[in-house]
Amino acid sequence: MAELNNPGCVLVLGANTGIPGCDFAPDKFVGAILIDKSTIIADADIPSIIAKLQELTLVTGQGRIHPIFRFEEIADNSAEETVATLGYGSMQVVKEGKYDWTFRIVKGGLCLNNKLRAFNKSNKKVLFVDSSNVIYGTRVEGGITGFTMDFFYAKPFKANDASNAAIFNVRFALAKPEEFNEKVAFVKTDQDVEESVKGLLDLELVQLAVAAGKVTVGIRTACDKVDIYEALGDALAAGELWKVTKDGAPVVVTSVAKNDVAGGWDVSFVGVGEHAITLVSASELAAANIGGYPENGYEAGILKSILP
Amino acid sequence: MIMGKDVFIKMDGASVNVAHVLSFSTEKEFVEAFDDKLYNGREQKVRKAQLKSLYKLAKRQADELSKTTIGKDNK
Repeated sequence: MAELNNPGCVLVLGANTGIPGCDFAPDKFVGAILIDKSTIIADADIPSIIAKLQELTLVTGQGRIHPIFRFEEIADNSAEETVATLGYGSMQVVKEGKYDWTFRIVKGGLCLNNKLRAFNKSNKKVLFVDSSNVIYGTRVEGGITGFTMDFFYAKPFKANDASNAAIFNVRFALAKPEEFNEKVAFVKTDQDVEESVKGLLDLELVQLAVAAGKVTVGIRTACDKVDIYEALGDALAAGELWKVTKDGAPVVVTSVAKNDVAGGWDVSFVGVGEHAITLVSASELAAANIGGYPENGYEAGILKSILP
Repeated sequence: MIMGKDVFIKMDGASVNVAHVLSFSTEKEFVEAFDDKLYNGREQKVRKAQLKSLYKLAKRQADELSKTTIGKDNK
């Protein structure tokens, strides 16, 4: 309760300093998970936190989390505390230094780096994961959330100089040191977090042929252009997994069939002119066993086709 | 056509919208309309037989669905 002339002082007792039998200190950070600033992993979800994180990788919209793994090196540019020396020689801590970590990523290359650069102006929070599969966040009422960041920055890549391969670095500047100290919340998992919580792969839909009422669609991964027809030909020959729209309005898909000759799917519907063709959401695809744990989930792009 | 709650049946690498199949008044009409859309890599005789089976399957599926909540929703 607010009170007149009360500056909010408390008696500073410090804390008890007995050494616990089991030391705990964070191990090497091997990954991070970008999460929306409003996302809280509820206390009830902590026992099954991996399942919760897997679910959040498939969410559509801002609630989706974005795992980044394979950190192989850290440059710690965290600031020291700022100490003021007073006129009579006494010293005072004026402010704490902030964490500023840059990690080198060795997997994913330029394509992943470009995807990560899309977060450079986003306002996300971050969970860290260490090499002992401990997930770190900060305690909030009802659960844990990510650390507040001053910024996240995926740097432009550094060129291969004949001695070193191209370098891809991501920088995390944390805003509040107390979140990773007094207010830290960590969960030791019994699963390999990197193997269990994977980011989505973008799929690219390409037009292989078009005829009246039918578009033959090929699908490949957007980054490395791997054709997925061989692997998912049967699974995606399912009309309920495809979406067609015209001027934003949904159009009934009348049939979807494998086309082995073209290496794609014949998607049929009634209409002429420009139509947008895509697949259902990542979570719906995962529910149909297309992507999702233990593999990456998939998110499809949009193919614009003009039907005669 | 505006999308409702679509139900599809799947047969041998093809999936068809049950409501759309049933919009054809006869099996012959359906087979003619889909002759260039499904099972294109197969001989016409085989393709027609498969389309006929698909039509019959859709009819059966529709009869079963009409007895369930999904069927009522679909209507």
